Amino acid sequence: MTLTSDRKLTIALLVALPVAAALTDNAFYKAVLVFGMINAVAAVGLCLMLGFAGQISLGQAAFYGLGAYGTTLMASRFGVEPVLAIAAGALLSMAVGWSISRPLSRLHDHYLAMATLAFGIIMFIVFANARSLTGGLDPGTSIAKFSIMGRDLSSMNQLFWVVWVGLVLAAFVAGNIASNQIGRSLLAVKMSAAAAASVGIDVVRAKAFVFAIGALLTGLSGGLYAYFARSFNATSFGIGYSIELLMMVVLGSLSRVSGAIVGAFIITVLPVVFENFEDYKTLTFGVTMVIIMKYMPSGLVDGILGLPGRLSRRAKA
Amino acid sequence: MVSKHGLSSQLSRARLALAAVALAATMGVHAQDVIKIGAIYAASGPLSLMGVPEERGLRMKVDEINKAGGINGKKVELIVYDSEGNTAKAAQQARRLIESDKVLAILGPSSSGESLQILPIANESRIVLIAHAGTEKMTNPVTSWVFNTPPTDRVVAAHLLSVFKKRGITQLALMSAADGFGQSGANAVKELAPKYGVTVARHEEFNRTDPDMTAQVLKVKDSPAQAMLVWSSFPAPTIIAKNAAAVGYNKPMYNSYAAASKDLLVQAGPAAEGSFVSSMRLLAPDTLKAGDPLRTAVQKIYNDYRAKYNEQPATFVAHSVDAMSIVEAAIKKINGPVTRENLRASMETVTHAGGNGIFRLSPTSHGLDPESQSMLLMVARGGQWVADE
Amino acid sequence: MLYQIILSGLTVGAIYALIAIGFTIVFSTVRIVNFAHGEFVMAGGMIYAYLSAVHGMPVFPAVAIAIGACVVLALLVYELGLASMDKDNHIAQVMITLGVGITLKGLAQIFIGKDTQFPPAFSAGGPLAVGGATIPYQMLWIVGALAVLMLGLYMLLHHTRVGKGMMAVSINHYAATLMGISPRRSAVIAFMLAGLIGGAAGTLLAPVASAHYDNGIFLGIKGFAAAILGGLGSPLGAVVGGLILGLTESVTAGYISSVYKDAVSLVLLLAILLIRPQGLIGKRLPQKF
Repeated sequence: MTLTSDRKLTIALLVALPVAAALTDNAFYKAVLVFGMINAVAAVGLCLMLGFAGQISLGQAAFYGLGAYGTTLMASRFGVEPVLAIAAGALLSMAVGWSISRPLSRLHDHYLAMATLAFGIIMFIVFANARSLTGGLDPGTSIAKFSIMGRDLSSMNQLFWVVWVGLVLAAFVAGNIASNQIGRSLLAVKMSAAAAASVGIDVVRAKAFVFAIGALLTGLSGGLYAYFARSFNATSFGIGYSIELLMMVVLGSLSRVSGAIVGAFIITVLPVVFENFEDYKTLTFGVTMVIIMKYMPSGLVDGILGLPGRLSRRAKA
Repeated sequence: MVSKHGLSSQLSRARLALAAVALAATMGVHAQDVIKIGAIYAASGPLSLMGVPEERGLRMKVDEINKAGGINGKKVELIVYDSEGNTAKAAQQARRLIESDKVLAILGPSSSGESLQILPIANESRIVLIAHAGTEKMTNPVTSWVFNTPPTDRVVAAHLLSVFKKRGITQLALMSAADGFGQSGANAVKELAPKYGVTVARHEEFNRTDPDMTAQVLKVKDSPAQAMLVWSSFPAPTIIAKNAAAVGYNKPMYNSYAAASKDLLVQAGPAAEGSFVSSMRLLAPDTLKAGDPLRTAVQKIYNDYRAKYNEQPATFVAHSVDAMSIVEAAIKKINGPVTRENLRASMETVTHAGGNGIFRLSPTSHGLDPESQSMLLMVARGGQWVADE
Repeated sequence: MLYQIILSGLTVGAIYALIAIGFTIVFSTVRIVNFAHGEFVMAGGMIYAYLSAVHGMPVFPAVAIAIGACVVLALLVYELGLASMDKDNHIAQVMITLGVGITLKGLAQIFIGKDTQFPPAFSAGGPLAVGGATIPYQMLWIVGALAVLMLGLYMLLHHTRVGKGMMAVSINHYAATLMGISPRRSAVIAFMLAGLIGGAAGTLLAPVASAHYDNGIFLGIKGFAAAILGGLGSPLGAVVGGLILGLTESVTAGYISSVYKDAVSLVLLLAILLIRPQGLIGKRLPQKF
């Protein structure tokens, strides 16, 4: 039941986005929408890992960076068509995600959190210092405008649709994994690795699978970010972004694709809203987060969907 | 008592009045009587050492303009956003300033990374951007809409290297922070060093906030280098000065302009005595020679800032004060309506002696040039910075 | 040179160890990683710097007030943020600590300011020469404080009723409750201890490494890494982890590459975790069933 309602909600969100974009011709609002969708793609990746399989990762920024740098290198050095460059970046990220998952599969909970955090920091140091490939922290690197078959599609309106397609793809992949047998075995791994193994689930393989797909989607998001930013440096791929992604996934609702999308938009939009608070914005953001988690500990989407039920129960009592 | 009906009609009247004010604000008043200037500064986060003084300097300059009746009778309205040094945020804020706030020009951001990401946005949206970036890529090659007020890292590096050459220092140890600021400076120094006959004998890095840099200092001490050059913002220069004193490092220590601040002398105390810094003149205007071409301009910024904020200005203050002064001069020179395009054209005719040096803007120069006399060597003597050239 | 590098590494390691102990104490009773812990350390340093710079307060009263304030802060974090939460929803609790950390950072920014500050060292005088190497007096204070705190913690956990109760909760939450020990009381004490040790670490650290509202996350990560390396839940592990981390960084910076010093120490941490997934001194926790 939750699964179908998640699917409906996800579709509703995916439809609502172009409607929202059509309502404004302010390029700033569009840019916020586009950036929100880019974050949502990465958040859906983490949602699969953490929400569906219980594998925490505090190193997602590394996959985001691998996607962005992979895409940029393919496009700038080898003149690869942008769409293929993004695919190549995402695949590079997936390959790395898959290969680190095996050694990491022995770790769980806080130890896994620390190990992925360490992986993220190490990758950041590599991004910052492999200057011939990445341009480092300064001046960074840049990429040509997005195009398909030589047709320039770099205006904010056109980028909106490009990124939207990316988000639809990500949601489709995640939704399918959630609803078929792989999803159920991931859930089993999340609940108890030992019990899952005892009914014949290959736990190591299941974890490797979800790490690879999570890295793939986050890498895809990085490739889209490269074309959105066009000029960027390694500071975009620090642990700050990994923590932001974690906030998106948990604030939204841990085990829902729609939750990851909602969470991504909250974390993208809230700072914009709080901008005018100047010195008070950090404080406001922190307090808002505490309040949401305290009163809706399973996330906004679950919290709001559960509201009618809670209210009617209270009314009856 | 107000009847229910009366209250609601009062409310609707109030609403009408509000709407009228809002309409006037968006249509008439703002478009004609106010000049909207946007700014993006890293007022918090790791770059706040630059962003905070930049924002304060800008507010000071704008207050001064408005107190004198504005520019051509129009008051200046400021909209400042805090980018936290985050490139993605800075780009969003630039779009917001251009599209939603509809400002005339954008000042900032504070770092090269942020500025480079906004560069194409400014050119495509056709709005004047006066960045405060250390990278020469902002204005080399010159693009139509983008200007830059600080001396670039290459200018600072060239200045220090020319000092080394003059003083017979051929072996240099470089200590740079593992962040964008440190990396940019280290690149400039390494690239230009051969031209001045200087060899970088050691290059060590550190995190700006590491509690201790003794290991790096020892490696420098152990090397044939005749001097150490530290390229980092605070707190690292203070910690390095203390660590160096503790292990008995006794060769000269030079710092980049990020350490050009009273803070180094207060925080490191005797450990900083005798160390050098390549700085803009704003660090110690009273020790400048009487004939210095920038003396009056620098002294004014220094005194105004002290009067307003009750503390000595960081040298970064001049980035934004100069930028706003140039905008003011350019607007005054416009014949006809103050539009983004007219401002851009007018900017290219401005000559201004500011805190950072002499700006001679033209279609081929959008920032300081090698003859701008931006940098000066200062030395810490008796707990004070003193000009040493 | 080697001698000096080892000495510097160990003193930096002592700082990491002090921070790590705070993570470990909270973890052993509440079973969550307190992401706000780095901000306790930040707050200790900032409040000390504020009292001494703005109010000209002498060192020890300022330090005492700063530490006291951190204890109160930690208590508030638990009572207002975590006390009423579902004990098994770990991720929501971790997010609360993350939100609290951001809140503390915001408060420090507003009430104390954004300047980098170096408050005075606890005792005046230049560095002490120890057989060819030097060590700043403040570092001796740090090492001394670490020793005193470890001793105090050992006495508390093994020789007092309160401490034994905390140990019982950390071993088996459920059984401890059945024995009439209040897990909530243990958690309150754990948070106050974390505030005390974190605040103390902050005041000790600020004179050498500066106090700045934005430093909490950096300090928190170092402390968390040290706690994990030694094994979460073990105070001795925290000390061992901290010292190894500090020493690795210093030796790497001195002999291999200062650019990759953090990368090398984290690779070492990963390698140790792959051999011992529970950390060096950590006990293997039963997996969730």
